[in-house]
Amino acid sequence: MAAPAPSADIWHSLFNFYLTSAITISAVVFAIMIYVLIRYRSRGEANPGDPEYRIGDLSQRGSVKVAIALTIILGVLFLGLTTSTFSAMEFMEEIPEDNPDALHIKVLAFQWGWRFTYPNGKTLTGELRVPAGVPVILEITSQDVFHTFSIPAFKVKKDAIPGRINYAWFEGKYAGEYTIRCYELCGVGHAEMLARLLVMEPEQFEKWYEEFSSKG
Amino acid sequence: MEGKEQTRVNPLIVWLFTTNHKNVGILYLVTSLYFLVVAGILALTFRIQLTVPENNFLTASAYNQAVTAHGLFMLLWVVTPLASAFANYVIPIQIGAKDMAFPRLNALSYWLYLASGIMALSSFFAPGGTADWGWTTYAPLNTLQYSPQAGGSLMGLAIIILLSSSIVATINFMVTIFRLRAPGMKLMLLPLFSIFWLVTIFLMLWAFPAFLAPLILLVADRVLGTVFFTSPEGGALLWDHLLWFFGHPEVYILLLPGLAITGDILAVFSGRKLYAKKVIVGALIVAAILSYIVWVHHMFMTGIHPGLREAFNITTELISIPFGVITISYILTLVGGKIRFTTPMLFAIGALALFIIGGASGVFNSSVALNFGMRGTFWVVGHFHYTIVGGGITGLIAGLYYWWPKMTGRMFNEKLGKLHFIIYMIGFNLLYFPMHALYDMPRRIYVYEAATGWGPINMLITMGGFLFGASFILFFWILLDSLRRGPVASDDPWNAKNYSIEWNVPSPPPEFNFPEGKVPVITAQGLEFRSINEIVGGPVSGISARIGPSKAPNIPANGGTPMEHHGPHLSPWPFVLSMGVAMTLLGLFFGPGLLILGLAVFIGSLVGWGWEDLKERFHVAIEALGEKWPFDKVENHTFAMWVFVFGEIGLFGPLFMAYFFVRANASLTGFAWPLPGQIHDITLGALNTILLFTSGLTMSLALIGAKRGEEDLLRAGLVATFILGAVFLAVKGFEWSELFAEGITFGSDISASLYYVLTGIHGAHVLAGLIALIYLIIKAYKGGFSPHRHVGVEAFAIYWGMVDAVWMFLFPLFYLI
Repeated sequence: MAAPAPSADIWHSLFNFYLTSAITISAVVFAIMIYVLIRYRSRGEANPGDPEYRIGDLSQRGSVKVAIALTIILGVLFLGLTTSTFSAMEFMEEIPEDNPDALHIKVLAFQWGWRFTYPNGKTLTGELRVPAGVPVILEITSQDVFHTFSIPAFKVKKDAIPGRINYAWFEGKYAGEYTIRCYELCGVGHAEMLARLLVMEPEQFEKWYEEFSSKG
Repeated sequence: MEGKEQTRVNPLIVWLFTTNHKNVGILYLVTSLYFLVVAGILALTFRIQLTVPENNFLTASAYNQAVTAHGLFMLLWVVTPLASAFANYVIPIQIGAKDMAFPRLNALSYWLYLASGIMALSSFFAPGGTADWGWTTYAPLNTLQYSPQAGGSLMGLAIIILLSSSIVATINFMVTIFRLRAPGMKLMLLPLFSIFWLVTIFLMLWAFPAFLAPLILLVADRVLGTVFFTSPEGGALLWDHLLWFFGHPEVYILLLPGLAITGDILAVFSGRKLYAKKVIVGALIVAAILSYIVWVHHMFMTGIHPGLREAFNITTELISIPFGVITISYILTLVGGKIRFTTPMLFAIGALALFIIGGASGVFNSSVALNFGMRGTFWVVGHFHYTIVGGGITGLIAGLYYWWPKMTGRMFNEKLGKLHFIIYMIGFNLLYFPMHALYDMPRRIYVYEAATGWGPINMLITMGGFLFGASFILFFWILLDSLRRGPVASDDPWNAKNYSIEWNVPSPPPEFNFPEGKVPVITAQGLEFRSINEIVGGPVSGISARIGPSKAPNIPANGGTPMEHHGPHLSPWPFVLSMGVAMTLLGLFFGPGLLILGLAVFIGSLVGWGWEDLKERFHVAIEALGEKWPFDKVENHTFAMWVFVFGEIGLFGPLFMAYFFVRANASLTGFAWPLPGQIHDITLGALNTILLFTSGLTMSLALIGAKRGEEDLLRAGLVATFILGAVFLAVKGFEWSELFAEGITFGSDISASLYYVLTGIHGAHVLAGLIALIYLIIKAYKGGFSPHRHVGVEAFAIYWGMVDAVWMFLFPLFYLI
């Protein structure tokens, strides 16, 4: 299923990559664990016999080589996984400021809703209309408490912090309707702090925006 | 004999006034299980609310309070206290000590914990209800403007008292584990539980004071009207940095005890040595250090610099490596063993399995890119419940089954235990696993629309929650059934006597843990109990030389049992003092009568405690022998004070960081920071600097007098220090009153807030010092110190030096720049 935004495409492929790795690694570890548990189970001897350990015994079991090898394997595995996400992070973070077509929107979070200010200075509350296929740059802030702006379907997320402006961007691939939500507890209205995102065909958007701009 | 004396005391009095580590452990156990039930029921209420879309079982406000209290209770009043229960009960025995280093402080830790719990529970009944901002308490939602309910402030105070209790416990355990080990008991010989607990308290020593710092600022905002979290110079990010600097070490504080018990149990029930124990311990230390430099991974979406994000991304991922090493070492431990699937072993295996899943989902979270999806969703909730509940609490339940026969002298029903394990695992996974599928659903929403499609999964989660809850009913039934009619447990029901000392003593152990008149000694051949004569190979008169005043054990002439307790070792003061604290602070919310009564009780208990010391009514068992590496040279009280001072760095460090954070932001927001001399009189500041500095010198003279036995010098030094300290406070009070007269109050602006709170905290330290000085002066005039008995003076000199040192920072920060 194609995601509705490039950021979501990248996110899902990265997520699937992580999921595959996590399931594979966990499966191997669990397989070893289950094998060990079955292989070395006590076969019901009445007397379990003398254990290997003894209080006061400083001698070590195991080899340093195994530990070093293990550390290196885990290090390569985990750090490889992590650094592989940096390019995705840069894509999702890099604000396309140089793109002349980009639409700049100021986002104001408040208890409890979202207000969007367009380049023409006019505002919409509870609804954001943008054209498809055009990058949208968001300047996010809050007028009261800590909120988190997100379009979950697009995997776009940024904290809205009073006294501070954070930037995010997204691009809707197709016309459609999506949800904007708050992802940080911000008081009793947190659950209902929603807004509608309307991604429109560019021509339709142009038409709407002209009307919107000319309205008193 | 001692024991007979004890039996005549009313059992209620024994439980209230006990200072025995095993009794304190049981008090911790019962109280933490009580809070587990409370926090669990809170969780079930909000799970009912979330079962179906658009439900209206709870209001938004009730839901937010339940979520917040659930989180705070579980993190602060359940997991660590439950671990403390075992630490209190088992660790002194595992290291070969007869009790904790400071039994009364140990009791004080418990009673302060209970006092804080009473305050936290009372906060529900304060006007407007309790805190409802989520356990993370994000600013500025946590300020009065957005959350006016008094219960929120009470909850803040409750946490402050809880953290104080933990800090006292930390110091006590630090001294106990480093200084009270049996002869031959090297640190690496200790079971993992004792070693991991030592690392845990090292984490606590800085993490808990670091949490104290923002809480003090928050309570100041809410009660005094300061503006730390409402001004743009402090605000949301100041809270975020301070909270999460504490937050990540806290995660390991929660996890490590359970993880340690898991490792010990895997070794015991497979009959194998731990695989690569040194590597496990090394990995643990690495993870503990790393935990202090990962906090920004909780703040990936706050708009901080991307370069920083990558750095913290890497440090976070690095943490996977030591935990991966520990996990695999645990599995390798089993290889070649004869694994006995007892109930504790099943829970240990379960803990390891759940921890692996939690670790795997954690790898996702470290990625900044994936955080664009995960941040603030149920995925995160699923992840941390797998680690903290799955790895931590499951391990602690394994520990409870493991040590239950030791603590109660009764076995439990194994079949029911196994049934409990099965229901627990099914319930757990049904509850938390589906949360990963809700990686779009925000945390802490009390209601969601049907169109989201989250309904069916939430239904499954709630069913899992109730099954998981039911497993605890069975759990408690198993425990009660064992108490009522369980078969009597032998000393060593698990065949673990070669693993750790506690399985070599009766179940439950006698009052002083070991056979009459003997102490454990560890040799290459194993454990032996020897009488004191055999250890020192002759008369033991030399031993008392390094033992402090009022704590000198009466060493009998026959050299029999120098560690024996003499006189009652019950003390009412830890209990009374804690109740005084609770009453005073509750009085702030529920009426001045309670406040006044509380203050009277509090002051009375301080006098009582001091009196008890002066009269030497309370004696402590101190091991004069044994392993003390690497702190051989320092006396227990002095060492405890050094640990305390080290912990104070954890408090003042973040406070100074807050200062610099605010100053840096002030230059961005254009806030006009007052120029030197503009508000704070440099002359008065310099005068106070001189006063305090001179008092440091007089205190040094007092210490020299004590060491040389020159009583006049000692007395003069102490009195001079007291006078200089009192004048310092008077000057401070004059400055404050002048400022108030000029209309500069707590909330005038951020620079005033910082000035009042930072110098106020310092002033409180001076005041506490003066109170301690009164005790020292009385004792000096009664001839209570001698060249060999002056640790009180020495410890106080260290404390006073720290108070001086903090002022050396405060003076330039507020008066000169």
